[in-house]
Parts: sequence; C-alpha cells; structure tokens
Amino acid sequence: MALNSNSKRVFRLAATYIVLIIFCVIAVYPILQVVTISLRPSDRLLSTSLEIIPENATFDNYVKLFTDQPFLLWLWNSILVSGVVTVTGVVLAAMTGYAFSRFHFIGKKFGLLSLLTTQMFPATMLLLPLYIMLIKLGLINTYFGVIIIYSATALPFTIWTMKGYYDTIPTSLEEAARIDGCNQFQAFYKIILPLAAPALVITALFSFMTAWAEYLVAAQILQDSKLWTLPLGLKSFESNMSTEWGLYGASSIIVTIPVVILFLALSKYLVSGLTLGSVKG
Amino acid sequence: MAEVKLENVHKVYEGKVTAVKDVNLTIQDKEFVVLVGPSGCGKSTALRMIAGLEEISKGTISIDGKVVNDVAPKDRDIAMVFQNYALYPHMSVYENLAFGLKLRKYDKQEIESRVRKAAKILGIEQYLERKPKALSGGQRQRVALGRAIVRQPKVFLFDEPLSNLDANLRVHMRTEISRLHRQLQSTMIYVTHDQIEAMSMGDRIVVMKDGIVQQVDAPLALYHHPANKFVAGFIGSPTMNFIQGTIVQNGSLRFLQERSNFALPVVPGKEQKLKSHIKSQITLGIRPEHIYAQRPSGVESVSSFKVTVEVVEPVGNEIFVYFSTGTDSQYVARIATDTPPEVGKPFEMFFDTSKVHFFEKATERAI
Repeated sequence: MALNSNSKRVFRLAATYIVLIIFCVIAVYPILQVVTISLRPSDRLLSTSLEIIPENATFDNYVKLFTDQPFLLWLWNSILVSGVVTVTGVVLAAMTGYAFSRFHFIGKKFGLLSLLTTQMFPATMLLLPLYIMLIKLGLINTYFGVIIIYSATALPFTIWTMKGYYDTIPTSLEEAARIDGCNQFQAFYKIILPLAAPALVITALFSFMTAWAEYLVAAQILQDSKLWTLPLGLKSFESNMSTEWGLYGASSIIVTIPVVILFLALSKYLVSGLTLGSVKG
Repeated sequence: MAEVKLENVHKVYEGKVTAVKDVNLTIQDKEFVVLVGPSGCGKSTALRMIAGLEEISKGTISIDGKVVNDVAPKDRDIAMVFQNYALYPHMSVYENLAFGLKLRKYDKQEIESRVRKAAKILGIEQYLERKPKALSGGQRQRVALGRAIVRQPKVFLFDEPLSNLDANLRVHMRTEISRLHRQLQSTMIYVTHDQIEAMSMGDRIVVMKDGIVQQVDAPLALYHHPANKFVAGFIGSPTMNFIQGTIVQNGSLRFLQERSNFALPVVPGKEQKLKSHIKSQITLGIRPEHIYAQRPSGVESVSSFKVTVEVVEPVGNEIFVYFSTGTDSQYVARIATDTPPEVGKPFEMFFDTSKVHFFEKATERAI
C-alpha cells in the first residue's frame, strides 16, 4: 500500500517535470536560435545546422553593432522614451487609481468605464486619429509625441490595476494616519503607497514594456533616423534586397537584456501579503 | 479640560439615509462615555463625526470649547482605536507608536521615552521591533491602544475595539481599558454593541437606536429606570420579559394579560402613575432575575402564578427557565440552581411585583 502510494507520487512528479520541460523547450528554443544566428560567421548565416554554438562562432556581429551602426543612439532613445513613459505612468496611475478607489465624485463611474472602453480598440485602428492629432500639435518627429501616445496607451490598464489594488487596502489605515497627524496626501504616500508596491511594480513593468518593444506607432511618428528607438533600428537591418540576420540576432539579444534585468530587479516586490497584520484578517 | 459637546448633530448620507438624528450630548472632562446600540444605530457614525472622519450634515461638535466641524482630524487632538486595529503593516511596533509623534516633530528622545513608557504600561516592550503580522490579535490591539496613548490626546475614541478578540481576552482587555482610563484621567468615548461592555466600563451610557439617542444615564440608572421599552430590552441579559395587557380597576389596580388569566396586582407606589392608563394598552416588563422558583424571603410584594416550563438552560451558577403563561409568548426566568423545574410540567413561579416596569404600548415610553 505504502509502495503503491509512493510510486504514484513519483509518477505524478515525473509527469509534471516532463510537461514542464516540454514547454520550457518550446519557449526557450527560438531564443536559442536567435543566439545561434547572432554568433554565426557571416558566410554561414543561412546554415540549417541545429547546433546551438555554431562552428567558428564569433562576436563580430555584436562588435559591429556598436562600431558600424548607430546602435548606442537607438538604445539611448529607447531608454529615454521608455524611462519617461514608466515614470509618467507610475506617477499618474498611482494617483489616478487612488482617486478612483477612495473618493466619490461626479463622473467616477463614467471615467472608469471610459478607460475600459479605450482598451477595446486595437492600436492600428487608433493610428490614423493619433497621427492627425500629433500633426496638429506639431509633435510629429519628437520624443514627446511617442511618449504621450505610449503613456496614453498604458494608463487605462495601469489605472485599473492600481485602483483594484488600493481597493484591497483597508481605509481604516488612512483614517488612523489622518488622526495620527497626516493630511490626505501624506496618508497616501506614507501609508498607502508603500503597501501598494506590488501594483506599482506591475504598473512600472507594463509601462516600460509598452514603450520598449513598440514598433508600429514609432514607425509613423519618428521619421528622423536620429530619433529612432531600438525596434525601428532593428527593422532597418532588413532591406528589400537582403537582411542582416547576424546584426538582427545580436541586437535582438541586447534588446532583451534591460527587460530581463528590470524583471529580476523588481520581482522581489511582486509578493503578496504586504498588508498582512494591519487589520483583523 | 476636554469637554466634548454635540449640539443638534445630524448625519444624512447622499441626502437620503439619515444615520444620526438630532443628537445632543455633552461629555464631561475625564468622563468615560459609552455609545451603545444595535448595528446601524448610528453610534459609530457619531464617533466618526467626532473624529472628523465623517462630515457633519447639520449641527455642531465642539471639543474643549472649540467648534471642530471644519477642523481636520489631525488638528482635533484626538486618538482613535479601530475595531480592526488599523496598524501600519510596513512599520515595526516601535515605528507604529512613534509615527504620530514624528509627524508632530517631537524630538527623538521625547519620542523614545514616550514610546517606552506606553509600551511598559501595555506590556508590549518585548515586541517593539516586531512587525504587526508577527503579533497575536490581543497584542495587536495593545499596540493600537499604545499608538493612541503615546500622543496624550485630549480625547480618546474607541470604535468597538474588542469585537475581534475572543471572549476571554475581551474581558481582560475590558478591565485594562478601564484601568487605563483611571490612570490617564482623559475623556474617553467608547462605541460598542455589547451591553455588558457598556455596563461594566462606562461612567455614563448613551443608548442609541435608528440614529436617535434613547437615553443617557449611569449604568445602574439605565438598568433600573429605563426610559422606554427599547432601553429596557437592550440592557440586561437575558433580555427583559415583555407582556402585553391592560390595566383594570377591580377594587385595586391590576395588570391583565390579553387572552389569558395571567394577572398581577399593581403595587401602591405605581398606582398613581397608572391611574390615567386604565383600560389602555400597556406593556409590562419584568427582568428574568425578578421571577423566582421559590417564594423569596424578605420580598413583600410577590405574586405567584402557574406556568408551563418549556426549556431549561443550566449555565453553571444559575438556570435560565423558559416558560409560557398559556399564550404564544415565551418568557424567561433566572433562578438558582437548587430548584430546577422539570420541562413540560406546570410549575409555580413567583413574580416580584415591585420590580415591574410599565410602558405605553403605542409610544413605548416608560410610565
């Protein structure tokens, strides 16, 4: 009987691992292929070999990115745009979400529903009106133009996220703080904001990702190659006649690195139970 | 000197629901006043208006002679203990206690000495470095009390602070809060739905129902002289027995129950007041402890009556006997354990007629 239940347990564990491994391979293999392509010498780019580390592997493509191509400029542009979008997104979503969660005002329901409605339209559908608006505002070919669009795209989701999280924090905490000597704003940033860290992290990551990997809007608005962000730069490796697959692969890998670092750095805040112990649960 | 005064205070939510209606109340300096009533009676709303957490729809609230209607909670010099503790979970116990003092820019040594002193009074010195989540319910409530006392405010407000604790701890904390009141000599306003807490802690009790103050009085005065049927029924456990009937004059005045032959003579002291109510509908109230299973010695005005015993509940030091007098209504008596009656059998009960209360049926006011 004991043996039976033990072997059952082993079988279940083995099955779990097998399924997990299969899906990990499916997820990781394309990325490994990109790594392989980026390491191939230029005469073997179209090889059909399945080796992960190719024969005569070289970092030439990586070096070329920084020496022959304006890759650092694109990187800087992307960091600038994504950074501003992230900061704007976090500040605005944190405060707007708080207002929607805590205050009663005329148009609250309408506001929340309107935000939700904006999420129902695909970005391509909004491209033309956004483009016309930016022309009228004179913001075509500026960082500011894309920053506004990215922020506006990310905010509805992040505001809802923040509002939902604030809703789970008991109002008696702010009331206690207000009696202890805080004004409404102090109660918000000294008590509520630290407790909303997980939602703030989600907001930051989402805002960053909205800007970092975006191509479509950037391609319409940033026409001057000095303003290009990384996705536009990557696309420029592809031309009608040929595609620089080696550079493409190398830059793809470098583009993912900041995102991975950001996820790793922020993941420790993605924990539940920050409000544990504050009130009777 | 920290007198709290409520004058014609109303609270109306969104122009429709009236939570508090025309409350007039003066809480003296150093007094311990308990607001008590069933859920939704407006007691918490009244407290939150004093705290400044709810706007006042009409009327004025003053603390220490100063009208505070438009004063922010932080500037009212009050402290509040919440039912769910409301501790700051990201701060240690020390930081929780020191938070209010830091905001008020006290110097470090003063903060340290006040926090240590409060922690000592409440016996939480060994937990100062812990986070609230590492504390038990009772310890958390002590921290919440500590956060209130370090500031040495003019007025302490308690919003059902013991409701989340288990029964034993509740009794313990009850005495602790009473001790704190004696020690600190401050004005305290305490909200609860538990009449035992109210009776045992308050210098005065404010009984509320549907947003209206029913009676304000000392605990025993409320118990012995309830102003109306609601107060009579709310204070005391098990609750007072109410019997519907009329006053008839048959030589002397008698109370007669509807649809039965249950009748009690009116004692001479109460005849005068009841004379104007002859033949009108009356509710008689008698507390369970004034009904005996044996003729009590030393009590003169006793009427005996045959009743049918329906349920017997021994609770240790006494027995609750539920019985009927031949009508649908059920009544309860609290009797000594030495004379347990048998269920289903007729039994003779003795009513102390000098201890009965009479209420007008229509207005429910005491006669």
